[in-house]
Amino acid sequence: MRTILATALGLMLVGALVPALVTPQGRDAALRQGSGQASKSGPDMKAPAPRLPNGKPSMTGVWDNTRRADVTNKAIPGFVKELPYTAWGKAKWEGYETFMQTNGDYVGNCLPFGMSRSLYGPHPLQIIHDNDHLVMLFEQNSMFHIVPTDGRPFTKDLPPSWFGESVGRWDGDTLVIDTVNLNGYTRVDTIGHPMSARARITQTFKRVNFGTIEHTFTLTDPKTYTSPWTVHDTWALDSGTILLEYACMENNRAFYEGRIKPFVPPDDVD
Amino acid sequence: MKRIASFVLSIALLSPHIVTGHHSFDAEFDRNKPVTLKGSVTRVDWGNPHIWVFIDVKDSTGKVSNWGVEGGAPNALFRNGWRKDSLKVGDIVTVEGFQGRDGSQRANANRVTLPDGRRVFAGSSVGGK
Repeated sequence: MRTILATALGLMLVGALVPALVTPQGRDAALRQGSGQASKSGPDMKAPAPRLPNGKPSMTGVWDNTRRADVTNKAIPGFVKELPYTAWGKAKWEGYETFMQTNGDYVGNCLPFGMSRSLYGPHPLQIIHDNDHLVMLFEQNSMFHIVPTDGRPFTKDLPPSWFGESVGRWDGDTLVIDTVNLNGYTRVDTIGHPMSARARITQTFKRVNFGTIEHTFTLTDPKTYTSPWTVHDTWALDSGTILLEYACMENNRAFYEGRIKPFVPPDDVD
Repeated sequence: MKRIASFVLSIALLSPHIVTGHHSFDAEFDRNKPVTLKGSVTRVDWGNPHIWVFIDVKDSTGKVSNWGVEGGAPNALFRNGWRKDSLKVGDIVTVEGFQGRDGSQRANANRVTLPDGRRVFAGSSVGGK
């Protein structure tokens, strides 16, 4: 059954990848992924990274993004050894369970998970990448996030938001994405490590070969942590997976039966 | 493959904070109220963010009450080979989990087991039906 499923998913993936991989090398690889032969052998994951028309590496693909319910979990390579809390940050960490009882759990309310919890949640990530933009499609809550990659200045006076505003720039063949203007309501991970509205997220994406992205996630948040810290990930291309719809409220009995309270945002995160 | 998203409670219980695939466990359930429920399936609601299985449970006096049990994330379960009809109305299951904080007949399922010992809606469908 699993073999049949994998074959079906592989065929469906062709439609998703072909428009995005525009170089001959990329197109061939994408086609191979959907061919009968590919379902047996798969693409050559050690082949060179596919390139965009502008010559930069393409991050396009469905990625087996690392599940990190706790960024300090030593069992998952690339973890953070110790989080350097400020006094405010430490209080936020220690008070999280109480906060959820008084103010509600934002993800239990089906509100957005934000960048880090979408990246490190249990659901896959698809990236669509062209010369001008990188688009992150998160299965978690069926959210999208569009990142211009021309290094433009951040927009002035934009209302803070769950995912913030992101801008990318190239450092050689590494794409660097900075994200600011976060609303400060989201936590770093499922277990609830804190962050504030002053946080800046810096991600790097390096496609080291066809089948692999090396990714880093750095949080700079002087209100919460005394120094920046970084998580290191290695993501494998997940060519057998397609993203599924995630309509969060369709069966959210926890919320609509009243066991999770309507979320009241914190008022001290700026 | 890391798509094993659900039923992480047994590991998470070692932590001061408990996590599940979607939301914080403590926001909804009470770790001090473990429950074991045995009964027949009356309905399976297959939807996000969690599936729900409803079972009729008979207590020691013979009184029957209907419990709702929160399971895993449907997309992750699907990828692991499970389908809505992996459990059918009338199937007898044993659920080990934790009751809701509000004391209602709602629980989070740490483990759902058929009479022959097979686990249902676990992270992996290896050996499952």
